[in-house]
Amino acid sequence: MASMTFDGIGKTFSDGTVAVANVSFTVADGEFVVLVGPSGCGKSTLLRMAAGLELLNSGRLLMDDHDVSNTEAQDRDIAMVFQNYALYPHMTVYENMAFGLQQRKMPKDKIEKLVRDAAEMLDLTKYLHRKPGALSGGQRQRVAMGRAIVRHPMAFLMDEPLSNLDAKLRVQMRAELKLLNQRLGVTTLYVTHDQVEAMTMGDRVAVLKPVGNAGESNLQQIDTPQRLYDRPANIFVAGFIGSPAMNFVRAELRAEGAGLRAAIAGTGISFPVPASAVLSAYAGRQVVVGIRPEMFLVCPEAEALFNEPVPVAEALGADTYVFFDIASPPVDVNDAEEPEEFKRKGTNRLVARIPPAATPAPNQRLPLTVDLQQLHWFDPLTGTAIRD
Amino acid sequence: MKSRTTFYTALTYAAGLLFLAVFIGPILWFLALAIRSAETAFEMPPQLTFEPTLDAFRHILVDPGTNAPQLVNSLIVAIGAVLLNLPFSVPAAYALSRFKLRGKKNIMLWYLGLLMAPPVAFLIPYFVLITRVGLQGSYLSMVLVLQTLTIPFSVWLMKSFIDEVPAELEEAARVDGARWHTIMWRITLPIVRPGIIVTSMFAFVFAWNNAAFPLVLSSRSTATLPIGTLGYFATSGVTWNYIAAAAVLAMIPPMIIFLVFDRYVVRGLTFGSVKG
Repeated sequence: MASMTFDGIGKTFSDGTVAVANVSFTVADGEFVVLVGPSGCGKSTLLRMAAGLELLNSGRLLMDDHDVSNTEAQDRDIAMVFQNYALYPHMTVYENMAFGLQQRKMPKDKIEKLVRDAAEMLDLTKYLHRKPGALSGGQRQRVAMGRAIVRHPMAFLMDEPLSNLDAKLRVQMRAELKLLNQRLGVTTLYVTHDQVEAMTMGDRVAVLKPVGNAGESNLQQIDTPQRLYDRPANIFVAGFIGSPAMNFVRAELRAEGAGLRAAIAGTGISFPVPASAVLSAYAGRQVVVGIRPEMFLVCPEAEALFNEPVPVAEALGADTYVFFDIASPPVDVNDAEEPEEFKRKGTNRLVARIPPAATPAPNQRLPLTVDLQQLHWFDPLTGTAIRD
Repeated sequence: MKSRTTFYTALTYAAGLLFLAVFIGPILWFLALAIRSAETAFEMPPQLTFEPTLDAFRHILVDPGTNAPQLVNSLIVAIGAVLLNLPFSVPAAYALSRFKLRGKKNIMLWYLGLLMAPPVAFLIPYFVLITRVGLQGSYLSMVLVLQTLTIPFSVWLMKSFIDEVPAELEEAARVDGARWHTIMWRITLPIVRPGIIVTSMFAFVFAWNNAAFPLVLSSRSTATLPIGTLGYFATSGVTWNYIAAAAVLAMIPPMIIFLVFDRYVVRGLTFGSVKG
C-alpha cells in the first residue's frame, strides 16, 4: 500500500493537444479517490500516466515519496482494471490471474494459493478453468478485478470498470467494489464519467474539466462527495455534480435597504437576498444563481416566485421532476459570461423536484418558490462561487 | 406474383450453374482427362462415358515415375519457404503494427510493390545473383528467392491480424510486469495463432504453385512438380493425360491443407471476435 501524489502533472500530445495541465493532488494510503469529468477532461490520461502507460511532460508522480515519473509500467507495482477488462482471451481465468504473479517469479505453490484465495473472495472458484469467452459480462468484470487484487499491489487503477455492465449489475458491482476496497484497504484511483458512480464510491472525488491551454488546470475541485454537492467551488463543479443538474439563472443584484434584492434577467421576478458580506460586494452587478432541483417548493399562488406552465413532468415514483421555461437567457457553465449576454433574449429551462402528489396536469401552471437560504451564487466572469 | 418468384429462383439457379461450370468444369474435365486412356482424350464428339484407368498416374509416379521425386522436391521447397518465411515476416509485421516507425507506410507500400511486379521481371537478376553465390540448382536457391513473394504477402496478412489484437491486452500485460518479449511470446503470438496458420497456408500455396523461379533456378534433380508438368509439353509430343495426372497430383496438397485448416481460415477471417 502506498500514497500517490500528483505534483503539477502535465501532458501535451505530439499533435499539440493539451490533455492534462497543472494537476496536483494526493491520494492518501488506503484512500478511494474518483476522477470524474466529461469526455476529454484528461481523467483517463491521468490514470494512464499513473500506470506508466503514458509519459508525463511536466510535473512529478510520487508513490510514498519515491519519484516514479520515469519508472516503467512493469516496475511500478500497480494493478489496473481496464474498461473492456483486457482479459487474455487465450488463457483460462486461473492463468489470467496468475500471469502477473508469474512475471514476479513467484513460486508455483504460492501463486496457486493467492489465486485460489482471490477467486474465493470474488466467487470465481468454479470458473477458474474457463476461458474469458465463456463468461458473462459480470463474471469477466470480476476476473479483471481478481487479476488486480491477486497481486496485492501498491495501488489500484480503474478505468471506467463498470461502464460495460447493464444498469442493474452496475449498481450491484458498485457496492461490491466499494466493500472490496474497504476490506483490502488498497489505495485506489478510479475513473468514471458517471457522477452518480463518483458520488457513491469515492472517499473523495476530483472533478476535472477539459483545458484549453497549458496555463489552466484540469482539476476544478477535490473533496468529499457531500462537500462537493454542498459547497461547489465553481459553476462547472456545481453543474456537474448532482442529478438532475443544478439550475442556473442570471440575475442582477441591487441594494435594498440594509439588504440586497436579486432580479432574474429578462423576467420581472425578483426576490430578497439574505445579507452576506461577500454578496454585498456584488451590489449593482450581475451574478449567476444556482438552484438545485430540490430547493424548489410547491406553494400557494400568492407566494410563488415562479408560476409557469409545466409541459413535461417525469414521475419517478418517489419524486416527480417538472420542467418549465422562464424567459431568461440560459447560462453556459463552460464559458465566462460577458455582461452583454445578460441582455440577450432566450429561454432557460429549469427543473424542479417535487412530491408526486403535487404533479400538475400537462401545461398547467405550477406555483413554486425557492428556499432562499440555500441558493448558490457564482461570479459570471470567473465562474467561482461567491461564498463567505 | 408467384410466377415471378419462380422466375427469379430459376434465374438464380441458372447463374449458380454457370458459375459452377466456369469454376469447377475445367477441374472435372482435367480429372476426367487424367483417368481415361490417351487415345480417347480428344475424340469428337467428346465421350462422356469411358473406362477409367490409372495408367497415367502409374506412368508419372511409378513407371518410369518421373514426377515422384519432383513431388518430394516441391514439398521440400514449399515447406522450406514457409519455415524461412515465418521468423522474418512475423516480427516484421509485429513491429509494423505496434511500433511508431518512420516511413512505416512507405515500407508497407514497398512490400505491396514487390507483390505486384511480375516475378518474370526479376528472373534474370535472380538467376545471376544465385549463380554468383554458387547456389544454382539447389533447394536453398528456390527457397530464398521465393521469400521475395512470400514475405511481403505474409507481412501484410500478419500485420492485419496483429492490428486486431487490442492494445489494452499488451498494456494489461505491461502493468502485470511483463517485458515486451514476454508480451510477444505469451500474449500476442498465441492470440494470433490462427493468423500464423493462415499465413503459413498461403505461403505454402504460393511457393507450391510457383513455376517461374524453379524454371530458372532448379536443376534436373531439384525440379519441382510444375516444372515436371511443363516437361510433358516438350518431350514425345504433348501427352495430355500425363499432364492432367501431374496437375491433379499438384492440386492435392493445397486441397488437403485447406480442408484440414479451414476452421482457422474462418476464424482468421472473423478475427474481431477476439475482443469478446
